Amino acid sequence: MEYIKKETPTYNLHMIKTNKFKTTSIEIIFSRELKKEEITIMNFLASIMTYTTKKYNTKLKFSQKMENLYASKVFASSYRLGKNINVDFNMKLLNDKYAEEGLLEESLKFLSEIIFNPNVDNNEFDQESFDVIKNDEQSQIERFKEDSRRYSTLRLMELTDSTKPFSYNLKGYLEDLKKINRKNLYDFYKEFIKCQIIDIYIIGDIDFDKTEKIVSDNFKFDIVKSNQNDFMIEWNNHREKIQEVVESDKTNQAKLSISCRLENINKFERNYVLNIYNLILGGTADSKFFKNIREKYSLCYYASSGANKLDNLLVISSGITKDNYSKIMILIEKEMNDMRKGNFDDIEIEKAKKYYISNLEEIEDSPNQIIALYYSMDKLGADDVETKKKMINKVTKDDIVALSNKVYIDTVFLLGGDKK
Amino acid sequence: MTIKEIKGIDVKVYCDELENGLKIFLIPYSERKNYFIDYVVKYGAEVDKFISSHTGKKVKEPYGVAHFLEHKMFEQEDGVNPFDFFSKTGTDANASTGYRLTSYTADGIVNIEENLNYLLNYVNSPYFTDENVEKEKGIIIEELNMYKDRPENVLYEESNKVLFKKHPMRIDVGGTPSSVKKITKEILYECYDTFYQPNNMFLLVAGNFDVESVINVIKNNKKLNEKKSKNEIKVFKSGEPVEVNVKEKEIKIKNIMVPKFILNVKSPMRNLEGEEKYRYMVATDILLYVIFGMSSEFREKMLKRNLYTLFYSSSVVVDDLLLFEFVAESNNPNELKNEILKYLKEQKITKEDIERVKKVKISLEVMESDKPHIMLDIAVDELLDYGDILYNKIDLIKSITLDDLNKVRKDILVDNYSYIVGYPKK
Repeated sequence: MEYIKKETPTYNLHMIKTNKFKTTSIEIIFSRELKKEEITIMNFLASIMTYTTKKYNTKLKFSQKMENLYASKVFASSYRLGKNINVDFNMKLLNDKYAEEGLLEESLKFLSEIIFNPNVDNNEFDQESFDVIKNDEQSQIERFKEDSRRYSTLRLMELTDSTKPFSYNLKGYLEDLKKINRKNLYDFYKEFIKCQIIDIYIIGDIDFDKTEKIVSDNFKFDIVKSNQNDFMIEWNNHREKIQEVVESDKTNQAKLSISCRLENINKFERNYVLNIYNLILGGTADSKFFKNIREKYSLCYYASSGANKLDNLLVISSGITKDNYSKIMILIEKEMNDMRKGNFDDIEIEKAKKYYISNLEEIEDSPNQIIALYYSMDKLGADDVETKKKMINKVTKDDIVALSNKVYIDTVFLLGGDKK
Repeated sequence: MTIKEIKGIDVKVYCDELENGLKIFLIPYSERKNYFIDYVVKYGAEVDKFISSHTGKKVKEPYGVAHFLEHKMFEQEDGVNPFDFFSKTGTDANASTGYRLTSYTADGIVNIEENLNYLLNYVNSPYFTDENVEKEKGIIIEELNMYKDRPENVLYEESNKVLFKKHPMRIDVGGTPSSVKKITKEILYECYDTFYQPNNMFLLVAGNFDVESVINVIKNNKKLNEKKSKNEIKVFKSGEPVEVNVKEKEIKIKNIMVPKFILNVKSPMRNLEGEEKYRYMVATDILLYVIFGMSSEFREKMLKRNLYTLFYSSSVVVDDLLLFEFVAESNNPNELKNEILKYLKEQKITKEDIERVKKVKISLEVMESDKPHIMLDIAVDELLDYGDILYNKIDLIKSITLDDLNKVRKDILVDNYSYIVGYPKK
């Protein structure tokens, strides 16, 4: 695998050459600071841009174009990284061998059409496309509540600190959706395409020179590159007492969600110790939560934890019978206290390290994960795979105990489970 | 051992069969890091009446036994939890139960020989006690409770209740809290002994591994090779009639924000096997794609009329029935339902449509073959549906003509549909 980065005045081009896959993957990443009021319009824009374009101005024409590119897939996705939001335009296409020569160039031209030639007339987006996407966005926002696990996690984050980006709903907000019209959407497009940090990743069995030329011929951004914002969310508003909120809802199962602050952790803890801590506590089917709360006491089907190093946050979640709430809280706190006291053995540490390394190795099997790895090295200062392997093996029991004492339960939220 | 190639997608399959009847399929991807093991039993939630290998008599078991068994296979006599073993090498293990099969999986980077050996050992040595069976009920009932709060699960279960009169798909794979409570260790052993026989199972491995050493592990695993395929398995089908149970029904579902429906068109399936059956199913796929796919006139027109915000279609064979399923989210469900039925009956299909969709289908086959774990899933489906992996599938797709689609179209009983719509509970 060979990696090369080319900086241009407006964007960075990252090319990764490998013949392991039958496909080539392209990601164009637009990154900027996450603002709550922009989420809805940004989703709207990404959706409408991948629905029709000026040239392929109906859904039928657009879809047939993708089919003619040998079922290439084009889609936009947005996700949060700490304080920032990334909007990715993704494309996956077959290697020439399974399709025809020149498919990469044709596909990049199509992507360029999507980005630079939106379906706009008289400074307004096309009415028909606008209406379809508006309905779609509305139903996506409304549908969010249908998944009570996801919904309860968001409510937990709002209760934890509603001023921080981790509490924003990335599906958007109905009141913001109402304000969007064809004109201000186009204004936003013009601003979006200019005020960005843009990275283009291409991975596959590609020729560097040829690919670079195709990209520079087809992607002419009219911007001046800005500096990358920092990602980390700091929140040191230490609560004296744990906040506890119980909301009733007539569901069969109650969702228990717990947020924990990570206070003043250093870089090594953030990048390495935290992973091991989380894997031992609740990150796998061999974790303390799984073995004790599920297997030993059979109190739930799932109980797990997940850490987010950019948010300085650890979230615990479980689906329980409401009557068992206090029983489970005692068990969760016991497991966390055991971590603080060092009540775990070297085998558990070794297993967590093996698990971490195994996940690292797996990255090589997935084009999108390879891109994510290079992106994190480029933007977040993450270590490369070999360094990561060395560093993770340096984590000691003392390190884990020290970190455990910087993990504080912030808010406990229990939703529903009131159907009798 | 024989080596076969799936033509057109550059995938090689090493096939073998043990003396006791277990069929083995190995699909190496030498360029990859990961390997995936899938040990499959042809026994799932749709089996409830069968001849017990214990008594030789017909029995009817409570719903949810196959799923309960899957949970309990992780219990071992020495008290070691398999996750405990696998995690030592960073390996993931899991299991799942469907209506047709139960599957035990492991995937990792290193230690394939020990891990495979271990997986074969625990799936071949059941250890059920009154105590460990009782303990599992709490976990499974929480799992069922979790599904009961999900609107899409509720709608799916209700849709099976209007579609089927008798078929066990009327009930969730996991059973119901009351059926789960009836399950005992004796029932588990009876089902295990009846169905977990080598000739009723498959073993598949895909990804990064050495074929010779994996074959060696399998042939030298004592627990597996000691096992004999005792008797022929006799399962009683549900006798599900072609007529739907209820044609139209409305329900209220908690937490639904926009109405959703499932529409099923139920038709008799032709008596076909192997490649002929595959060609028929590809023709139904292409038919659905042409009429309802991403580039269809249907989607364009319905979106213009704001008739859906989610819509997809699929076809499946259950017993000797061919089912077309349409799932949608719509503010005007009845109107959309009528349009679907109309398009299914009347939409014209051209040769050009078929050629375009064939190209899409072949491209998708290539893309899917790039992922070893997806390749495994496809191979398992083909083994269950067609009795073997389809080595010739690209040519078979190419051979589909307008006549094939017309044949399918004649078979469909468009008016024999069941339709369940879920509205928000205010």
